Parts: sequence; structure tokens; C-alpha cells
Amino acid sequence: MILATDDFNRADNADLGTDWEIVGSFSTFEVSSNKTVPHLLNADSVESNETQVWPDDHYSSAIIAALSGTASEAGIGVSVRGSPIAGPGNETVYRVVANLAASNNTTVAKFIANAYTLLAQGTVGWVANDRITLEVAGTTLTVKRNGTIVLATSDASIVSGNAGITYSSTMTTASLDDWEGGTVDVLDQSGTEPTITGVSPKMGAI
Amino acid sequence: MATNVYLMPKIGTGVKGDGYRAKYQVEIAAEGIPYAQADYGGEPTFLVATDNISSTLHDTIVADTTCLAVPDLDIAIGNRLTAAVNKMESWNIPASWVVADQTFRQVVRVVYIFFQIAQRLQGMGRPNLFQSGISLDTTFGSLPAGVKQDLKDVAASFTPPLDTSKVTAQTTIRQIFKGLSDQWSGAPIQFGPITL
Repeated sequence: MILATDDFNRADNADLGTDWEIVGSFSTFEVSSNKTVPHLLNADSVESNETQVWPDDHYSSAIIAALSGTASEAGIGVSVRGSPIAGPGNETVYRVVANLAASNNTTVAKFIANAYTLLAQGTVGWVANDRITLEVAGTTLTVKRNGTIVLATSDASIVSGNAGITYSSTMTTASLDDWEGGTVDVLDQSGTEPTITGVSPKMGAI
Repeated sequence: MATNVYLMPKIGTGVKGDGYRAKYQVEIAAEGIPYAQADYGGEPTFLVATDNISSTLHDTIVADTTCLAVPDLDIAIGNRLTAAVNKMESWNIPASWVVADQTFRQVVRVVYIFFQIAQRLQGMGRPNLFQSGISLDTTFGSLPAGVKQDLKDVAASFTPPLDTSKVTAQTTIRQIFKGLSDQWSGAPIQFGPITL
């Protein structure tokens, strides 16, 4: 169920408005040409949606209007369970970001009180106007491209927080449009996780 | 498709650009392969899953005595039991419950749950567990009051809450971790390229 939306169709402004709040001491997003863009391309940005008390399990989703870059762990994307509190020490959030690198262009990571840990990387064929989605249900984080699961992993560090938008520096251009956040339905949690088959691991050394 | 699992030391400072990561995360990422890594909360160990790692890098990790490479998720541990248990316990990962006829997948799944319990402890802002003389064999009754409450709070924070009513003063840290993990949902757990 959709709980909040923002199409960013309003006059250019350095502030997204009262529906949005900076997570911790990250940089901000602003409205530009009816889209949202990072205020600074050389600093990480995270803003959480403040329109309501978000359920612990939720999703955040947006159209990637423009993306660039090939730097590892850089990208534009969305966030979940972001701290609703601004200020140093509150940089706590899960996020996924995407860029145009040929491999490992999708990064799931967490900040816990500003301590950064990369959780997973994979290769996805992102193009402009794709919809990127991050779902969190229990301890499972699921990334979707246009509704199809492309990456999933698990982490238990963050219990609750808000859906939001994020940017990981550095890129030359990045923007999002038509953001929405909502609840994660039961079918998604139990019925669509990918299964890896045909495994033939290399021998180890125990 | 070939997937591999490793336990590795934690490196990094936590600052983006030098984030907390497994010892060989940079080398694994440089291969352009899908992978995932999980921290053991504030403890100095990472669990890593890779897909199609090169033989060269795999062999490097295997040869590194600070790491532990899982040979094949779906074979029994067999005569590798002692080595595996000793290595895990050296990293404060409870392993006395591991037996030879379990598969590595079964063991890694439980270890991954242990890691998630430790992650939650850290995420709730609690100090590292294995400090100030606390070990896997420390009993609940001998823990400082704050640590006792931390463990109860962590158990209660999961959905559904994990039951701690059977924990007594004589219950050890290793028993608490295993007891909490036994209550985990039986649903598959996705860890990057592998399903546990």
C-alpha cells in the first residue's frame, strides 16, 4: 500500500519542503526542473520522508531520472529505516545506490551513527527512467529494478525509521523523480525471493 | 555458477571510503562479481558470500590463516569439524553445537543468525559484547546488569520477539546465542548470492 508520494513538480527550491528531513548530518536534496537532485555532487545526501510514522517494514521507490558515474559505491538511489532526526550522530539508514559502471554498479549499504558498512554489490543494467526500489521486511533487504528483484541480502542493525532518498558521491549528474514509499505486503516477503541453484563451489581449506 | 563463503577479519575505520569491511572485500569487488558481506556487530569478523570468485583470489584467501574458507555449502563437515569449531570459537562465534554430519549450509545459516543478533546489539547502540572479560562461557548471572538488559532488549526487538524466559543465571553466552537462533523463522535467508 502506498503511504506517501512526491513527484517534485513544484518550483525550484533548495529545500524539498516540510515533508522531508535531513538524516543526521548528510547533505540535502533540492527541487530542480520538477525533479530532485543532490544539493552537492561531492557529498553524500540522505533525506527521509516525514509525512508519517513509518511502519518498520516498508519500501522506498523512485524513478532514476538521470545517473552517471562508474566510481565504486557511488550512485543515486533510495533509503529505508532512515533516522528521522537531523544532526550529527543520527546518520543511521539502509540505502541502495546505482551508477553506470559495467559491474558492481548497485550497492546496498548501511550507516550506523555515521559508521559505514557496505553490505552487498551486484551488476544491474540500469538506464535512465528505471524505477529503483528498496524494501525492508524483518531483516531482509530487497532491491528491485522496475519491479523485478535484482539483489537481496540481510542485516539486523536498524529496527525502524523512515523511507527516503539518497545519493552517494561522486557522480557528474544524478536525479530522481516520482518517489513513493509504502508498506511491504506479505506476498512480497514470502513469495518472490530469488533462489540460487546449480551451485558448484570451489574447494576450501578447512 | 559457483558460490563461496568465507569468514574474514574486519578492517576499515567505518568512514565512507574506508568503511568497515571484510579483509578481502576490495579484491572481491575488483573482480566485478556479485557478493555480500555481513559484520558480526562490533566484533572483528565478517562473513562473506561470493559468486564466481576467481581461483587465484580464492586460493589467496584459502592460504590466509586469518581467514576460514567454507569448502562447499552442501557437504557434511566431517573431519573438518575440529578445525572449523576452533576457528569459529577463536572469533567468539559459538560453535560447540556443530557436529560432523551437519552440512556447511546448516552451520553458515546459524552463524549468519548469530551475526544478525550481534548486529542488532550494535544497532541499538550497545557496546561490544566480548569486552571486559566476557567470553562465550560467561554465565548470564555473572554479567553486569547493563549487559543482561542489553541481551533481553535485543531479543525483544525482533519481530516476533525472541523468548528469553528460559535463560537462567547459569545459562552461558553461547547458550543464549544458540537459544535465540533456534527461535528464528525457518524461512530461507538471502545473503547476497546465496540462500541459507
